[in-house]
Amino acid sequence: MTDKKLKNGKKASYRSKPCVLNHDDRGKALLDDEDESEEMPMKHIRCFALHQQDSPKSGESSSWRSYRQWRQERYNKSARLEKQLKVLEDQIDKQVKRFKTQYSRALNPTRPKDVAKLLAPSSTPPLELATLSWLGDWRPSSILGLLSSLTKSSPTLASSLTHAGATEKAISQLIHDLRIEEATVVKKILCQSDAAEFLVAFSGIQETVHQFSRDYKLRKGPVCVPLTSGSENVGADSAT
Amino acid sequence: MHVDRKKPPAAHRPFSDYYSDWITTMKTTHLPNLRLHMSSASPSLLSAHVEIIHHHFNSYYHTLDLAVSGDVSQILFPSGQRNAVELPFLWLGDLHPYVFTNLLRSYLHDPENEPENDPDPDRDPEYEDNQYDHQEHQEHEEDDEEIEVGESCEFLKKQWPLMNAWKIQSRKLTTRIDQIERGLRLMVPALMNRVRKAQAGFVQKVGSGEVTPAMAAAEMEEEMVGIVMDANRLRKDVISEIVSVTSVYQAALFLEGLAQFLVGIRDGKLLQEFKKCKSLIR
Repeated sequence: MTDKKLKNGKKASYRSKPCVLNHDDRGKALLDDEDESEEMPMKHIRCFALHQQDSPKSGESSSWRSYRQWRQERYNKSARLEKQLKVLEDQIDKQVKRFKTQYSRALNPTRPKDVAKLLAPSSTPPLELATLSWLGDWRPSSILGLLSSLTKSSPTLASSLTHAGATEKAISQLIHDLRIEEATVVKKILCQSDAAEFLVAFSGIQETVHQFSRDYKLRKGPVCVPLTSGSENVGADSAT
Repeated sequence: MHVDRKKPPAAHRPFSDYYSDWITTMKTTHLPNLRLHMSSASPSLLSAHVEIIHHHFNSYYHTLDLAVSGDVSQILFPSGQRNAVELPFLWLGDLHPYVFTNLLRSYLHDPENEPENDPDPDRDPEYEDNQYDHQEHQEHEEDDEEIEVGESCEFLKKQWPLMNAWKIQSRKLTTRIDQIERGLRLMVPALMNRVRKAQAGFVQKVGSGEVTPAMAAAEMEEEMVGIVMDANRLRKDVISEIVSVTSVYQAALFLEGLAQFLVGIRDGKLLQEFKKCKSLIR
């Protein structure tokens, strides 16, 4: 009898699966296919046990309550995750938009006197400009070089790249080709989480280099030369 | 974090002060002296002053190398000692070497200086070079009587060699300028490529966490010092080549133009006008 019950239960559990999937989940459960495969048998067994109770109506109600609660939790989690992904996407878009704005024509120098500010912005310490800049801002190929080095060194970024080889190839090609639209490229070649991780690392390195360069300038003071250097200029005048 | 600004070490002065003094010496001493002797009839005295002003440039590049060893980043981005008019002309810390060759070309291509009779292309170059050789040209200056200027026209007599300096162009000169420009077309991109590689190395090291940013910057600085020194050597060599391949009058005019350019772009009045300039960049 017990064996029969179990057999029936097994059948019941398999039968219940379409019922689960057909429930009003709006397809959200598809996001967590792996979790579902692990959690479902336990729920199905519970479902079977309740079906076998003497008072089917109250048992069924309790089972469905628990099941609905579980579904609700899953739905809420999915909704939260979706919201977080949306926020992340918005943040990435915002960040990329900032780059686009920064490099857009509207911010380019319009008067001759602005050219010098563009080439050597006073807010950027000389060492930062020397190490990173090309015409006043990050050298485009350095951005992709940074992406390439992060891909190789960061375990999370490297492992999360589904097509690491293809990405690396794309980066190399872009380093070769690219001129100015690097910010857009980041979004084009990376998945959402990788793009976010890259932008965080990019901004972190930018800040680190900026801080370090600022301290360096303060520590170093103005660049000096020996007093005797150039004194021969005065001597040369005596020839007249 | 509070970091005290370091004072210049004893017997040292800021490079910006040195550069300011260097420009003042050029403006108040060397340039007037050169101009004075350009209008004198003595090529040997003029030659001495050409040499002095050339030496003034060389001593500047020597000092610039010393400053580069001190802090290459401040030389690469010299917002302290260079104004808004000067900055766009800079390449690796000083004038782009193309400025020198372009200046020379501007004299050669000036319609007023075009030779009256184009040399026969079939003429033997060696023969022509001999005709217009630097030294011989100086000797020709002694034969000013041959030019119909009249005894009373002393001023014109003195100015004649200078006025005709670019009309006497040897094939040797134009060939050498072509060679210098070809050399620059190879050297300039090679130096830029070294800068790009140095920056890429820095980003790669910092990005991968291989070394600290301070260590990566120190390694990069070492490379950049070499690059800027090589750029200085290139500039110095181009000026020296131009001076050696031109006649004394041509060299004097070239150095006068270069000195005037450096002095002129620091002129306060020009800077004010530049800052007020309303014309839009297209």
